[in-house]
Amino acid sequence: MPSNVNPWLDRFAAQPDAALADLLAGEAWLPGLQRATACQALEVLFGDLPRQPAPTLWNLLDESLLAWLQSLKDCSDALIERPGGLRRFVTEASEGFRAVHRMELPRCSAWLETAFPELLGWAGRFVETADFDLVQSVMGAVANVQTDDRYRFVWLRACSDAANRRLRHRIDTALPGLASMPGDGAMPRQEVLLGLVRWGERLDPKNDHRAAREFQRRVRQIKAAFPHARDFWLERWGGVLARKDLAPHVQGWLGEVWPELKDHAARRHARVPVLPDNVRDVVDGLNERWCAEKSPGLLDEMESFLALLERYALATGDTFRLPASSVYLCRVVRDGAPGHGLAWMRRVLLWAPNNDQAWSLRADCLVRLGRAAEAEAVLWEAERRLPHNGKLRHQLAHLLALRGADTAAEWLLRGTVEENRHSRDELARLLWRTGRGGEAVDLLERFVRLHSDDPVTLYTLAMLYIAEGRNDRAAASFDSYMSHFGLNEWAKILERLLAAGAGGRDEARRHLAPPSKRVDRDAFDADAAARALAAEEADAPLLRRRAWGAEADLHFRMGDAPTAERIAGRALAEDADDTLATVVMALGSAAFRGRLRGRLDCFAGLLPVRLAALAGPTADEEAWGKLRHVFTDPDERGLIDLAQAGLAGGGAERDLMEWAERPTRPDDPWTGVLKDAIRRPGADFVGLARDALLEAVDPGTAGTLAA
Amino acid sequence: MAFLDDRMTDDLAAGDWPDRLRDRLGLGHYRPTTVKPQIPVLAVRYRVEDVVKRAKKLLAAFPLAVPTVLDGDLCEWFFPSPAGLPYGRTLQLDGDADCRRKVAEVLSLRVPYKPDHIEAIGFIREAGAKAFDDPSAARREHLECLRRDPQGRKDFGTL
Repeated sequence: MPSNVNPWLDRFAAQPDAALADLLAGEAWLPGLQRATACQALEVLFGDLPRQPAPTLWNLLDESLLAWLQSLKDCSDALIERPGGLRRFVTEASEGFRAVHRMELPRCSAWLETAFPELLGWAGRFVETADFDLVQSVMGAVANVQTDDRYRFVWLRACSDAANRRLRHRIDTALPGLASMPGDGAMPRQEVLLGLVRWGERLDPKNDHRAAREFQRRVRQIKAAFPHARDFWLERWGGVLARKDLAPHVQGWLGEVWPELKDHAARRHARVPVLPDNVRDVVDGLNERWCAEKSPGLLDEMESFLALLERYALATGDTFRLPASSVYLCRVVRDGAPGHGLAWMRRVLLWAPNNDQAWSLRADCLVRLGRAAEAEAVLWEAERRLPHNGKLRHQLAHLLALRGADTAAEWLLRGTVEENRHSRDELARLLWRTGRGGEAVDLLERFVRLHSDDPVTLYTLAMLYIAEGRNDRAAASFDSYMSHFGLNEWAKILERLLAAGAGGRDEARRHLAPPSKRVDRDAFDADAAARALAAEEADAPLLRRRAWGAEADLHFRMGDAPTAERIAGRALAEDADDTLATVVMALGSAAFRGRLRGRLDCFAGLLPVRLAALAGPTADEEAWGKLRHVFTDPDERGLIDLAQAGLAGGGAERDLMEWAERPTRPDDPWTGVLKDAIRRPGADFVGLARDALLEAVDPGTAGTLAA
Repeated sequence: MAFLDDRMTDDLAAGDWPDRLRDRLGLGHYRPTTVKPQIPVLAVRYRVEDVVKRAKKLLAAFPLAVPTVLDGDLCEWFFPSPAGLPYGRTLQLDGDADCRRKVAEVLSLRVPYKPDHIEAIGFIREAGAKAFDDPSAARREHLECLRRDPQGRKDFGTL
């Protein structure tokens, strides 16, 4: 039956939304096309229809499919409840996404490209097997419609994630995603090699017997897909192979299937930006010049230098030099040019998402730009990704104290006070401010007995005594300070306050109030600041929901469930299925957990959600077994064992210890910290399980788009 | 779907084998259009022995089966075969008035494909076929062939 008289088209012209929905659901009558997939059917039905002049049925299809795709988020629960369940939903949604690029629909394509990060986060819920993976379908569609390289880091991250055994298949979408980014120059783009290497480095050569073969297959595919002369490849690979930190197994696997890369010829041919002999000398020199005289020209020089380091990172995959130099220079300029500093830190977090200094400085620059709320959201996200990081925790507590959230600030500070003297100082000030001066003094006296040469603790203790009017003790502390550090500028302050009597006491009390960050910017930072803040605005909604989720978790741990539920409720009001808020609420509220257990099909691919739903004593061994059957990656199994040990009354400690003995990648600091903590005698599995589940929530794309 | 028929050898060897096989196997949903003028297809050849081995590994009772209407959606291009026939018969999209172009069709258990299974790669380019203009006539012709088949039934399809 010729397509132009297919009765479905008549119905589509009259009721486009309903007709399309039926077709995508496999419920439309399509004579002659019953065996076709939805996308194939659309190709036949529309394939001979004219696209011009508008409006045509093509335009109607573009609008209707766009509306259908946009409605999936709100309808997913209902759609999954139909016969066929999750698999049917994934199949139909995948056909819809495929139709966008197969049919070359401009409005759908534009929306898909813009909505990609958000769609990835949503689609992650609907993953069952390699054949039913909605993330794969979304990625495949975007790979075909993207118009620039804005998603470079999303694709690179997808390559890393594909090292997970359960998600191995995604490498065959992530690499084409990188390869199909439009741009100048010969294909493939260098990012394809970086993505391949990132994936290869995360494969386990010892315990995964398929890893070598699978890696080498993709190497052969790249060689076949992009036939080039020998020298072309030597230039591209040379810089990567010259890296000292390149995993030996990747070098070995490459050499086996690509003999020209085995010897040092590649390194001699490498086409890599030339760096100064001593990068440290360069940044030291820039620092000295900035201290001597700040100027926009000097900022431009710094920017150019960092751009050179980024080009080097792109050519080699090196993720050390750019972050290290960027962090250094950000510290240098943040007083006068926090806008530049913020932009540089956003860029560092693209290359090194676990760099704690970059997170810390990003927040610091935001505060200097007058954006304390955004800074706090950044720090909540940083604390979630890098739990147990004393510096980040301290910084967050300081901001919380500034806005009057003293209880939460105190709780955070008490967790770091043992190892971080600045936290002791901050906690003491908070205790004093909240009318517990005696407790503040006891806290610092205890630490001074153990660390009598700690300048911060001694100084603050002396200040407390002065504020409390206990001049005799203040004088003793001052003498102790002087004996260690002499009459430096801090000692002079104490001396003056001691001598000033009541006035000194009042001034000491002002010293103990939380200091506000001086916002002192140079005019030539304005443009950079505006651009960086605009980029932060784009991240703000997701970061804000993340902050609410993390803050709610803190309140649950403090035993304040009503506050926790109120805060998490804000995130759920914006997105009813916000993953972090869902995990937090499931861990903290038995009622919420019970409701969640009834709709776990809507979170099939999200291990943290499924684990949170099993928290508590009522889940049986069969439920844990089902999870282990689905989530087969060793790190996922480790998370399951930890959750069972910590949240469900135990049962997997031996497997957990075995997992904790396995080595960790150096660019994954949190897993290293977690494993050390698990191995420690008397480990708190409950707290560690909560930390691990929250950290495992997909970080999404906060700060992962272009800086 | 798969077919067991050495009479397909000439079609496979022809330059336009994708179009020929599309017509001989009744794959009426593969229809090139102005927008998509080529449909890539891959012909894969594997041994019955491989299917039987796979079935043993999976403990599957039936490595090969005659296709029935329950194996796919109701479709103009599918026609069930009489019970006496040990295989299905594909509807010839380009007509088969003399019933000389019959193809034996079976369903086989999925065998993991390997590179040496690949017989040919090509593109279906032919948009038209006799059956597309008049599916009813094509079906009547096909039914007649089934009735005339020595292993068929003269009254097959009679209500």
